Amino acid sequence: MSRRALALALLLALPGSAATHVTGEPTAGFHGRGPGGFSLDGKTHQLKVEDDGSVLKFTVPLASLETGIGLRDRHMREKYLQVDKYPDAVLELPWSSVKLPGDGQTSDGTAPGKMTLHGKTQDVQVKYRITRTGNRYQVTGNVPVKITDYGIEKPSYLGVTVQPDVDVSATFTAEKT
Amino acid sequence: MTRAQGVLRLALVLVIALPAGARAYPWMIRDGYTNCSACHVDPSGWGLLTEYGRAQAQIVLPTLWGKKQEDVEPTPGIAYGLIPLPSWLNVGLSLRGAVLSTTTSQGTTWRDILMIADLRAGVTADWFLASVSFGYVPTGATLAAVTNQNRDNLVSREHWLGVRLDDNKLYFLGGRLNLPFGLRNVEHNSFVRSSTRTDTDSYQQYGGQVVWDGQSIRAALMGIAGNFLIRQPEYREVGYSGYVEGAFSNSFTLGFSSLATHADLGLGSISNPFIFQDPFRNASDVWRQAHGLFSRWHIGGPWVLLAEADLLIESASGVARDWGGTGFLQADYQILQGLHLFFTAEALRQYEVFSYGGWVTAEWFFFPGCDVRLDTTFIEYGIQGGGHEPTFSVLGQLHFSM
Repeated sequence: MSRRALALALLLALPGSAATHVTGEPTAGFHGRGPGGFSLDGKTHQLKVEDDGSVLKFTVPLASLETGIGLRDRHMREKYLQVDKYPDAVLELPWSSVKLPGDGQTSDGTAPGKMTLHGKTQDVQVKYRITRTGNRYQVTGNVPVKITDYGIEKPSYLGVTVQPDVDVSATFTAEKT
Repeated sequence: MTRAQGVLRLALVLVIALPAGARAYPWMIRDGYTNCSACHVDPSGWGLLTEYGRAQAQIVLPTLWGKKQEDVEPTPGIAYGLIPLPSWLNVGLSLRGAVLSTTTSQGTTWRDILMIADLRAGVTADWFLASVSFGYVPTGATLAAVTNQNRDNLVSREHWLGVRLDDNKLYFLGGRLNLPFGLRNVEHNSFVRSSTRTDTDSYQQYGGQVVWDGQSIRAALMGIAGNFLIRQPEYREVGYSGYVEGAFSNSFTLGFSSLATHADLGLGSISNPFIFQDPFRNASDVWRQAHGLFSRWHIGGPWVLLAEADLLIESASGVARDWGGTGFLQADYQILQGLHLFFTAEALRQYEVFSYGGWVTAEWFFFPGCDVRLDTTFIEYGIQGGGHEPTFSVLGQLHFSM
């Protein structure tokens, strides 16, 4: 390997020498719409972020999602998400697609990633906003997801049918060392 | 005040102290419901429930006695599953009885009252909607009476047809409808409902209504053709009523309401029974306006706040224009699912008289379709010419619905 190639490899590998860990309470969730003004929001504070240096991996245990109504949660978990078979939603985002801001600055962007849900993986576009203070990064991300693309049936209950297009979101603060 | 006047006023206090016998719970925002159309046939809320609404009434409304919400299996149809219904047909029954004690300077009275005995039916078949209610009241609700007795009347509070389009976002309704204005709640005796004449007990009007029921905005505008159940047409009001409400999150909404009506002769207000000379009663060419803000806010956990404030303007031929206002603030604390404590404060300035008061309420939805409610109310009614008349009432209710 030439010196130049070695230098480039080292440069690309730099994030790999770093560690990213979540501080505080993260939030992940979704926003769905039904007929008329009907909407529903699911939320969990369980969000795991893994960083292997080249890919950021976000994992949400779907059984922890709550919509505020117990029976609806049960239907969501058992009938639609089938969390016993497919327990997690996973988003993988290559570091190379993420633009980190300088200290005291905010960056917005859209990054291609891969979402795995209900046993299927699809390409997605992740909109993000990152605000940096020192080595702390406050992150908000949104991913539009069409659940039928993942083999999830359109949720319907007693005349109220939820549209398949759902906004998935996450908010967390991470430290990168 | 003469004794006869006192008795008359006391009777009026009793009448206006009766709560509405229908369901309209804007504190359902606690469960993330900022809109009403999924659960109610009327897209602006109140009254007859849809199939989805009947299920929610079993899951999120009552005490579950150790069960978890996820373990509840709502019974289909009505009457706890004994009567199956097709999904497009909605039927409901509401029975409410009460015991009321009212104390004024004239003394204390006790009454037992059948407040509501209404049967409701409605259709939600794809784009077509219809709703009708029919009931019996021994006293009150005369503006909704289809019979013409001093008491023991048959009432039809609403009857209307409608269509809904654009994935149930756009509605066109026509018939006898609730006025779209402010908080649509059960507190029909509150100043904000009685002074604006927008309660769901009997102030429905005939007309056409356009409703927009979107994700973050809901709005309704009604052209009021008059209350044709009033036999004397000169007392019928013509005008408009509407609101627009924004949902800034699934826990906070803020809305604006506006209403303006004209009648050849004024009906007069019943908000304050101690207004001895209502300047607009039987006045000619009466214009009535109300404009205000309202809000629903799930503060967090067990707390929900409901608020409304309205400007009141009234004018008539030969009568000085009256500028007034009314406000309502209610905090709902849900102790456990189905058991609520309400703390309510209200105020009214009308005809240059200021009244204020509040009430503490305990309401328990102890079983699906059944609730008991106890109100202790203290109101200082302003008296024309100065002074106040304090009233204290205790009201116990038992309500059965399906």
